[in-house]
Amino acid sequence: MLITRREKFAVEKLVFSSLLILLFTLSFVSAQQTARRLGDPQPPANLTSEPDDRRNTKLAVYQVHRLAEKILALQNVRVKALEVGRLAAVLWKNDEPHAQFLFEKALNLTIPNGDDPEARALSTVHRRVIALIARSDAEWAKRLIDSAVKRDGEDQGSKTFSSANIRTALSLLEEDPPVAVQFAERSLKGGVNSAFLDFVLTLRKKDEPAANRLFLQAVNYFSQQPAVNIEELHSLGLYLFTAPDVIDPDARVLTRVEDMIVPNIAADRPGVPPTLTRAYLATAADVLWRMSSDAQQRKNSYALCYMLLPKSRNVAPDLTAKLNAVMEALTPQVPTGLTSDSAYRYINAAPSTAEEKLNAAENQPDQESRDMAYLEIALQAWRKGDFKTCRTAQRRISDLEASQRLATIIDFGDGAWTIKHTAADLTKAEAIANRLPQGIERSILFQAIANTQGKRSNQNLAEETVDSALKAARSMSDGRRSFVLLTAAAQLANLKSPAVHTAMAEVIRDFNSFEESALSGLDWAQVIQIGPMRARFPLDVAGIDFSFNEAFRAVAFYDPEAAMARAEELRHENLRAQSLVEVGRAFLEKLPPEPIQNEPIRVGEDGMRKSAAKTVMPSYPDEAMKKREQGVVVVEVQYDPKGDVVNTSIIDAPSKSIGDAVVIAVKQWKFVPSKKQDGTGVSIRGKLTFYFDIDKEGKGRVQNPKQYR
Amino acid sequence: MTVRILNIAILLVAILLSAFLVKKFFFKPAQNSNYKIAADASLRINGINWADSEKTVLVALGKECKFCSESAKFYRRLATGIASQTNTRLIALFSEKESEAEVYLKQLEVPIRDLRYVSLSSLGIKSVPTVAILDRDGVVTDLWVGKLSPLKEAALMSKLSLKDTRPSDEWSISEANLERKVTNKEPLLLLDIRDRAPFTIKHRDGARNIPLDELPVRAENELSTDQMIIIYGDDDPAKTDLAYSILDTQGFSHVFVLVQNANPIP
Repeated sequence: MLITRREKFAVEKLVFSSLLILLFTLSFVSAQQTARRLGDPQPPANLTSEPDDRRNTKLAVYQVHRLAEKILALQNVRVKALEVGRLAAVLWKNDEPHAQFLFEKALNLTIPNGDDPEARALSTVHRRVIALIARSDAEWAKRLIDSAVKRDGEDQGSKTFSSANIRTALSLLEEDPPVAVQFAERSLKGGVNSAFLDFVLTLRKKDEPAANRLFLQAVNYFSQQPAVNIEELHSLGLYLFTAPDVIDPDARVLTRVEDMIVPNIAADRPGVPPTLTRAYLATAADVLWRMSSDAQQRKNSYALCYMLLPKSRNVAPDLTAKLNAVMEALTPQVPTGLTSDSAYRYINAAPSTAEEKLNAAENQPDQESRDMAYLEIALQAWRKGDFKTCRTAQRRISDLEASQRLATIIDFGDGAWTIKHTAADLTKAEAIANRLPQGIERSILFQAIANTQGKRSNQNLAEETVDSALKAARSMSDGRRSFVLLTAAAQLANLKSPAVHTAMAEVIRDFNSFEESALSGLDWAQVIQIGPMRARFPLDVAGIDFSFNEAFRAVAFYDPEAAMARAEELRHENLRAQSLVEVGRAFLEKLPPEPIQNEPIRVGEDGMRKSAAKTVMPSYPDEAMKKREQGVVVVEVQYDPKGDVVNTSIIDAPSKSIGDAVVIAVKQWKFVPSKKQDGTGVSIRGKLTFYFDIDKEGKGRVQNPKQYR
Repeated sequence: MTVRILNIAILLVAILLSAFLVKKFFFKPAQNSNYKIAADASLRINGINWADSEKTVLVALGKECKFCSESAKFYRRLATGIASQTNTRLIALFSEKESEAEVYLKQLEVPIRDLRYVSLSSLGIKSVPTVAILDRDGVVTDLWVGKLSPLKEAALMSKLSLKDTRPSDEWSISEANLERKVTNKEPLLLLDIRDRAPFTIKHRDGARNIPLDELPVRAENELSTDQMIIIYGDDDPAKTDLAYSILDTQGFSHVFVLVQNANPIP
């Protein structure tokens, strides 16, 4: 075959054009794949062919990708890292790969480097991002914490470890208590962090046995430490004890003992099992017996010993001798003032009647002392809801300005108290609100009233009340004004009132009129100062939350598109970023629930095991091993069309701790997504079986059934 | 010259690649649509004319198949029963050579004369033993896969208007007999296969609860194969029968179903 010059040219043309087409195709395919992997903000293709709900999901996910881009384009590194992390947590359920990608971005942005204040602030954000990750993927968070500890080195490391774990635990407590407990247990390896007490106290309200177990672990930690920080041990006592005459059970009252400020643990908390108290006393006696060489620690030891002795007489008489011996040994080593009973006169301040208190105040030598005493009485009565005493004390204050402001605050407190305790009748609260002068108290009270009216579907009335609240807020002058206006707008959004649009325009203008510093670190309390005394009256009222996120969330839920436009108008980056996250949440949560409208399909264990893509074996809880709890566990697991576990319930287990361990493990399982023949995803549910055995040496072992080993 | 060869080579690679891509993206693997055994489907096997008899019973077996050998007693009863009828014939299907199959059936003492050598997988028979009843048109009217439970054996027989002659005390036990065993303190395990809730409310003395849906996994892990196991549940015989079948196929050799009095749980 002879090829002429012209034919050769034609062949070459053909060759190169086909090569070109091939290259084009390949690059297109690979670009698509990269886009899918990185979630490039590219509108999802061929949406029209998809069923409605899935199209909506894809669009919402795409919108969230765009929001993430917007946040990442901000200047302030801390703001963008934290908010992109929060957005990732919101996105996780619908688009795990992209959420992971965003989390990684947030982590990389905040890798701390150096030891200046900026680096410390960055590492705080880093920890908060890890806490956000823990909600979606606990194992990943654990690995991140471990590697952060390695980075920080040994001595700094254990502190970082403990605080990172306990902060993560705290942030998980609301959503996933068992996993939160896991993190709290991990934190104990690095010491008893101050946030640990917050954690156990909050956990106790949700799951008392778990909180008690954790408390005992902390006590155990102390008993194994060669050098114990007595203040930490003392603080832990607040789990069992409290100050006498406290109104708020969560309050942690500090008291003065000579020149020290220590937690007041003079009274017992009601309902605490004596075994816990015993364990704490035994450990405390041991620890105190060891005697510290540090003078300050010795003083703390003496004070703690002094407060524990009466408890030991009640609960553990056998320990009294030991504690007495400790006190005797310490006596010559601490300042003499500390050893006299008068140093502890504040811890058991006997509660006196309002009458006695008022008389005592009257007898103060000078005007200012009397005013201070009245203010103190007013504050305490205000907290208890005793507004009669409150008003009597207020009228006796001679400082006119303080007295007037106090009158407003008392009225507000009275109104808030009525709404909380007798919500059925709003007339009294309304009368009070109408009598209050324009300002923050009036606005907040009106909002609380509107909230209650709205719940009774008294739409028009509620809208009018919010209007009064807006008016009252306008006369404020500090940065709190913007937030109060925003919560009012959120009320309108909750009422589904179109008035929210005008209100929001005002809110945005108002936020933009303040400098950023005027909008941060706000105190949601009214403070009255007389001489050196500052009395703080929190502006708490049922149903109203002043956090920017919460309020903006309500607005975004009403109309995400409009909220997005408003968010973009915000001048301050951190507010803009926070509002964009709430817009993203609204986009995703407004979606109709995943196509779980078709009931999950039930399969046998064989089917479950065969479609498991990632399995995690439960660990044998130490406690269960000690108690020799063993046997079979049957757990029912449901996974969604994406293969993520969405539901677990223990059907059978030898004990709660074993059941919890299994739940923690199976929640981390992943399954191969299942589809029906028409391509729509299905949820699957089925049972899984595990065997918990203890061998002759007392070692626990968790196994799959023989068939699946 | 070399440029041209190179060009042609590139062209070839390009064509191959694009063909591959086109195939990958535009063609779905073709579904093979042969005759498969399934209820209500018609079947075609070379050399068999379905119209030759009113009903044809196909028994697909394999030489190495444990459950086939274990079911020998039933096939014996089936073959003897069908031999007494004129309008039904029995054919055994094997993947092995006919001579080997013949020896195998002899060993099992199963009197089936009509043997066919076919590829079972091409008929869609995934596991042996499989028993199918076909009508004159070759349509599968009934299908059973695996070793059969006592009730399923009886159901199969009754489809052919035969009476199952298996003595019921081979697999079931009466209340009276159970009571006697309990008084004699014979070692036995009473297995309650109901769900946890009804079990918790009320159950027989000393009974152990493994709900039916968990039995396939848990039996092997928690029960001993040579122990006498007496199954009971609520009054649905299909459930106890299924439980029997599960234990039977897992190698439990002394399994009985309790035939309960009118009021099932005392």
